Amino acid sequence: MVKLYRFLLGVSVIFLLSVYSSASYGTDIGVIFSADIPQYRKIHATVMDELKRLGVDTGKLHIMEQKPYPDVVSWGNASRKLIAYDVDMIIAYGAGAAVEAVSETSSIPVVYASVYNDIRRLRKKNVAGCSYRVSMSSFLRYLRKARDVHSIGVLYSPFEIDSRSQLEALRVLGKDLGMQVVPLAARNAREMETQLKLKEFDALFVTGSALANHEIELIHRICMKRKIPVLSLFEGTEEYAFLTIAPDVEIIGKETARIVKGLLDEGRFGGTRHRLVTKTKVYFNLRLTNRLGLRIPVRLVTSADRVIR
Amino acid sequence: MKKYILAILLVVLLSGWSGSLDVYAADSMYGDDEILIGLIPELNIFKQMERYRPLAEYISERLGVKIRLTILSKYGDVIDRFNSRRMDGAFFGDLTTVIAYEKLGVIPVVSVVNTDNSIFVRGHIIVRRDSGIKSARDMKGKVVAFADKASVSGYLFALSYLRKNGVRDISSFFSEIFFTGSYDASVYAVLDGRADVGCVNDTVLREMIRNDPTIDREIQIIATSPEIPGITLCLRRDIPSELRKSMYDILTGMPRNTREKKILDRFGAAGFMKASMGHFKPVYRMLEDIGTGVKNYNYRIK
Repeated sequence: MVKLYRFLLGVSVIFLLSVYSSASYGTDIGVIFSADIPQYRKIHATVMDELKRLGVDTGKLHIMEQKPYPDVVSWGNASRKLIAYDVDMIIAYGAGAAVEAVSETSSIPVVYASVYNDIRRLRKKNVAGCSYRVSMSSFLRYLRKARDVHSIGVLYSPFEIDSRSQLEALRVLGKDLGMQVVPLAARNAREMETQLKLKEFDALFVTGSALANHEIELIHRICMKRKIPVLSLFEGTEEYAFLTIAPDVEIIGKETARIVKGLLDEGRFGGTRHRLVTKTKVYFNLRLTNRLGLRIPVRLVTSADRVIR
Repeated sequence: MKKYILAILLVVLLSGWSGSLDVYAADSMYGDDEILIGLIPELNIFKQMERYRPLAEYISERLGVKIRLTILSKYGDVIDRFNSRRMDGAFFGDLTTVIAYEKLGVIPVVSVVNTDNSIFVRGHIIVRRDSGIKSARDMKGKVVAFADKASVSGYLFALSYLRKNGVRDISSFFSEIFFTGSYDASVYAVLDGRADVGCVNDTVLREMIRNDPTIDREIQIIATSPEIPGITLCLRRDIPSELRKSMYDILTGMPRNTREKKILDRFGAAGFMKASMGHFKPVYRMLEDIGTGVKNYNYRIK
């Protein structure tokens, strides 16, 4: 029995030493995805590639990924876990995780990425990152060319600041264009399903909510049954939406990597701390357009970055 | 390139190879009974067809000679293909009029009078209002969507503006340059966020805003060119002078009645007036600004 204790003690010491050595000779980076979705995965992959290209020895980076279910409690738990581990920095993809991480720590540097435009709650001393902006009016402009629309459902998460601000932007535009905006607030998949099945609208806009984009297949299924066209703004949803105008994830990834590199080199944020990416990619799903019997906006066929046939 | 081909194929398919307007009508050069007129893709080709069709039909009726239209996919094509497509004339744009006059020896007949009763247009360099771009300096590293190299409003003016602001090499100044093929597409590229900077002429922008007032709130004009004639109808030198005169009389006489008024309304113009190369002096000056002459100016897009 004593031998077993000694053995276990030995193994524990070796384990702790190995953890200590990796921590002391590398950098511990906690990464939180607001949801496990293609948009965040692509940005993260670009961040890692760009860091390598910028000369960072990524082998020495100890990356701890957290991909919680997209809700406030899970984002908070993921942040606390990384803080307890005493990581050197946190990279948070999406507004949900970013806001939670920032509210949990004022000492660990937090780098956010893929947060929509309004970053007032992220303007803190220990925070830097890269937000994006997509023209909401372009969605409505193209939608009106594809179908006569009187009302548009906006699927958003009350927990995600950027999802809410997109709803507000659409409300203003809807007023201008005489289009009724029907807010569909969803805190989980079940609520989302209920809202999508019960409320009346001619088209659906899926905001940049981690939750909504996590459930894009469910949204697609319900909307196809109801013959409702879907518009989305996240990379990776273009198979499910007739129109996707997404921020350029490659640029977001590269800008984020530059912020991380600066932090690795200097130990603090330097230069422009809050960067905004406005470059977008337009994806037009001709296959869905035909299946839904929509008019084909010629401009989208000729100018989209990708046409799905 | 693929996009141009796709757009042309779409027109061909949707038009069902029928009607009096041929997208590719190659068999003219004034013979006895028809005149082939080329059009630049100022707007997308569907809109161009809608715009010119009633006017062409009306002139045909008055002249007793069928007018056939051919739309070119790029502004510069109207120069390159003027002879090979056996065109008898064309509604040239701001820069192609000058190039056609110098290179093809065409005769300017009438300029289009816009709805503001002026034959002149002005080029605008535009950005999104929330882009933070206020001057040429702020455009460094951004994405630009030009309309076409063979256009003053869609390219040359921007080039001359940038040159005056110290930018000699646009390919290293911008992070990405692309050509949309038409003014409205350049505006949409900026609105969509595919480009930071775009180029358009004032008549097209005004029309777009009239149809969609939200555009006005989103677009900011950074620079405006001097006035130049927008669209000018030029005819081959060997077109019989009496025919040229008849066309001139018909067009400059419009609108004489409500039917003509309606045709002009659909065309988006108030009428036509005598064309003069003297009105194109600013174009020659812009070419000087960028250090080239008309004959050496490269208007072709790779």
